[in-house]
Amino acid sequence: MLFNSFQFLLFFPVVTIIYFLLPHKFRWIHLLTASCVFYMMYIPVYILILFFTIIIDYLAGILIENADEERKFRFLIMSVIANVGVLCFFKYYNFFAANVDLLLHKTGGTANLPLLNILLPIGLSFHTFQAMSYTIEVYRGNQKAERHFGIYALYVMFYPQLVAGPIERPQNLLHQFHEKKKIDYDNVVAGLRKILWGLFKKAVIADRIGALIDPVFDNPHNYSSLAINVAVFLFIFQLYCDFSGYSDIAIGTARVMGFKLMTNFNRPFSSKSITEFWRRWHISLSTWFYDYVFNPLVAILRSWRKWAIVFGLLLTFFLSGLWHGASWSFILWGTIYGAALVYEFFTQAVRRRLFGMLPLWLNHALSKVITFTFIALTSVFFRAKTVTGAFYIYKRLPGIFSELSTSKSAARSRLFGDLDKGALLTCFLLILLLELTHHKEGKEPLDMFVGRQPRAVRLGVYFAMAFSIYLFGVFTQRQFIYFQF
Amino acid sequence: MRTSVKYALWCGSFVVLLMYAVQYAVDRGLRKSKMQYFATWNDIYSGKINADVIVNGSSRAFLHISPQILDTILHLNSYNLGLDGWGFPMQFARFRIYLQHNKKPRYIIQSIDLDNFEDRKDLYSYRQFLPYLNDREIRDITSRYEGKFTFPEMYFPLFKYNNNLNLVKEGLFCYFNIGKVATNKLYKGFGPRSFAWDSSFERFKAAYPNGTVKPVQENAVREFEQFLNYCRDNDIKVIFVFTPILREELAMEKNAGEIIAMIDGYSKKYNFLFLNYANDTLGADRKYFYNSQHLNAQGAALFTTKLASDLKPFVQAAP
Amino acid sequence: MEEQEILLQLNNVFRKCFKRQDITVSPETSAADVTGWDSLTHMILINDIERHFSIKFKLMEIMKFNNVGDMLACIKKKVNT
Repeated sequence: MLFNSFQFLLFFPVVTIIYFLLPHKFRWIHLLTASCVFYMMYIPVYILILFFTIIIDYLAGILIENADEERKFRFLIMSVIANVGVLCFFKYYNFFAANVDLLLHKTGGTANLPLLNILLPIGLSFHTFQAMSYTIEVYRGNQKAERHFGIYALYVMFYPQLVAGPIERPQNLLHQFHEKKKIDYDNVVAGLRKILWGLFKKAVIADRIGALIDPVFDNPHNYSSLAINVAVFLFIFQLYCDFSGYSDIAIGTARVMGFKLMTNFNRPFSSKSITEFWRRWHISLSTWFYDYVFNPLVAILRSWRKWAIVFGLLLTFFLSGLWHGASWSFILWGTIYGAALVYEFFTQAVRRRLFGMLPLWLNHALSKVITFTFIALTSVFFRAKTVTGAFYIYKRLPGIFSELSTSKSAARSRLFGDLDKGALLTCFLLILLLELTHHKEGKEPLDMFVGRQPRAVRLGVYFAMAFSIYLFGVFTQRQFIYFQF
Repeated sequence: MRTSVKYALWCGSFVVLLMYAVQYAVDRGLRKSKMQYFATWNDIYSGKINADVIVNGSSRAFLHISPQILDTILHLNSYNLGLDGWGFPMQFARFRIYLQHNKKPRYIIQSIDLDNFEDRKDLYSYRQFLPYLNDREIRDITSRYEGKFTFPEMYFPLFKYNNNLNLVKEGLFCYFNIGKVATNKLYKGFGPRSFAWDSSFERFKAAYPNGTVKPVQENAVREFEQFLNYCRDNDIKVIFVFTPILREELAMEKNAGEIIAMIDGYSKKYNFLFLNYANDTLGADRKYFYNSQHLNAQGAALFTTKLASDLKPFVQAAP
Repeated sequence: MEEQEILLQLNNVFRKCFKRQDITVSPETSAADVTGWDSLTHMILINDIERHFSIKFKLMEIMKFNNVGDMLACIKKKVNT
C-alpha cells in the first residue's frame, strides 16, 4: 500500500481508531495484523521472507544475550549472514550473475548463471537494516533482548516505517511498544500536520516536478542543454520531496498513535559541506552506516591512522551506493560521495583558512552553493539508470553556454519550448515555498511556529494544503499522459 | 482545542458540500461547452443530430470525411462521429450512446483502418469522458482500459478534475454564461488539419524497417460483427470505406491485405457496399497528407468529393 | 597512576592530536565540546591515546566511549593492571 493512495486514506484512520479503542494488551496484535495487511497489499507471499528473518533475529537476540563472549559473536555473525543473505538473494543476485557472466564472457569463458525473474520485495533494504540494528545492539549490550515475539515482530514490521524507513534503532522504538499510549491531542495534531506536509511534498511538489522532468531524463536526446540543466537541478528537489515527504508521513502516522520516530531529513540543502550534507540527509541510514560499518571498521584499522579513515569512507559509501540499488550507477554515485568526503577530510584546514578570509555571509553562501551544485550534479547517477546514460547527460550540460549566448532569436525562443513554461514556473514557485519553509524551520521548529498562529490562519493553511493536494496532487500516471489533440 | 476541531469539522463539511455544488455546475457547464474534447459528445447527448448518414471510425474518419461536402452533393444530413485514437470497441460504444439519444440513421459510413481490430490498452484522452461519468455506457466502456476511473474519481467531489483546472474554469463559465468560453473548428464532428508533413513516418520507418503486423483482436472482431448484425436487423445500410493511405505506409503493413479481405468478406456476407480507396491515386502524393495515415485538409476535401460522387448512385437523398 | 595524573596526560594527547593549545578536558567533555574532535578524527585520537599510554583497547570498549570520563575509566583500569 502506498501512503499517497486512497486505500491508505481509509486504512490509516480505521487502524488508528481501533488502536485506541482496544485495551493495551491487545494492541500489539492489532498493529501487527494491520502491518501484515499493509505489507501484503503488494506481493502477499513475500511476508514469508519477513517471518523467516524475524524468527531468526528473535532467537539470535535471546541467544546472544545469554551466551558467553565467544559464542555471542558467533550468534551475531549467523544472524547477520541470514539477513544479508536474504538481501543479497533478492536484491543483488541478478546484478552479480549478470556481471560474472560479462566478466567470463570477456575472458572467453561462459557461465550463463540463471537470472531470477522476481520482483524486489518492498522495503526489504529498510527492514533488513532495522533488524540487523537490533541484533548488533543486543550484542553490544545497549539493548535487552526482546522476549515477546509479537512485539519483536512489530519492531520489524511496524507499518508506518516498514517500506521506506526511517530505519529505527531498537533503543528508540522497542520500548515504545510496551508503553501504554493514551490518545493525546497534541500528538494527534502534530502527527496530522506532519502527514499533511509530507503528502504535500510528495504528491504536489515531487510528483509535479517528476511529470515535468521525467520525459527529459527518458529521452535526453530530444531536449536542449538548457532543459537538461533545468531537469538535473530540479531532480534533486524531486528526490528530496519524494523521500522526505514519505518519511514525514511515516513519522506523522506513528506520532498520531503516540510513537516517536527519529528525524530522517534535516534541511539538507542548507549544508555547507558534503560531510554536513550526510548528517542532514537520510539521517537514519547515514547513522546506521556510521554506527555499524564505518566506526567499527576504522576502530579496527586505527593503527593505519588517516588511511583507516580514507579506506573507511570509501568502503562505507561504496556500500551505501550499493544499498540504494543494484547497479553500477548507484555504486559510482556512492563512491563519488566517499571520495568527496575524503577530499573534505584532507582539505578541511586549508578550506577553513581560505574561506575564513571571506566575509561570513559570503563564506556561507558560497559553501552552500558549491555543496548544492555538487549534490545536484552527482544525482544524475541516481536518476540515469545506467552509467552511459549519466555520462550522456554530463556531456550535454555545458551546451547551455553556447545555447544562451546565441543571438538568433529563433533559436532563443526554442530554448524553453522544450519544457512547458507554466509547469516550470509552478515548480519554481513550489520550490521557493519549500525553501522559505526550511528557512523558517531553521529558526524555530515548524510545529511551534504553526501552533502560535491564530486559529483562523492555522485552519486556513490546513485547508489550503489539503485542497491543493486533492486538486493538484498526482495520483495516477494517466493524469499526465499528454492529450495529443 | 476542542473548539478548533469543531471549527475544522464545520468548515470541512461546508467545503465538501460546496465542492459537490461546484462539480454539478462544472459537469453541466461542460455538457454545454464547445471545447473540442466535448463538442461531439455534447451534440450526441443533446439529441439534436438525428442525421441520415453517420460517419463512424477513428481519426481517419474524423479527419477525412467532410459532412459539408456529403450534404451538398448527396442532399441529405450527415454527421461525423470519428473518434481520434480509438479502435472499434470505443467507436461502437459511442454509436450506442448516439442511438440512445438520436434517431437511428439510414446509412453508416464505417471508415476502415488497419488498426480497426486492435483495441488499445490505455484510456487514451480520458478528459473527453469526464462530464459524463454518471452515464452507464461511458462507465462500462472506460472501465475496460488501463487508467480507468477510480472510485474516488467517480464519487468524490471534483476529484476527477484533479489537475484539470482549465476544465473546471470552462465548465463554470459555460454554466453561468460568463467569461470567455472555448470554441472549436469542427463542422458536424469533422476536424480537418492543415498541417505540414511531419516526420513521424520517417521515425516509424527507422524503428520498424521491416514493417509491422497489425493485431486483429478477437473482442474487437466480435463487437464489429455485433454492430453489423444490429445494422442489418434495423435496416441501416453500412458502407465500408477504406480511406486513402500513403502507399509507402501501406507497403509496410504486412497484413493489410488480410484485413482488407476480412472487410471484403463482411461486405459479401451482409451485402453491404465496400468502397476501397487503399490504392487510390491520392495515396501516391505526399502533398495531400500530413503523415502516412492522415490526409491534410486539402486531401480530405478532394477525397470526400470523390467519395460523395461514388456514393451518389447508392444513396437516396433525404425525403 | 592516579586519575588526576591520567587526565593531565590525556589533556596533552588531546592538545597534540587536535593541534590546539587551548583544549582543557574534563570527564564530562564529549566530542561536541572540542573543535576538531568529530566522528572522523575520533579513531586517530584513540590511537594516539593507546600509543601514549602503551595500551590496547578492545573494539567493544571503544564503541562504548561516550565522553572523556568513559575513556578515563578504561585507561585507569588498563594502566593499573
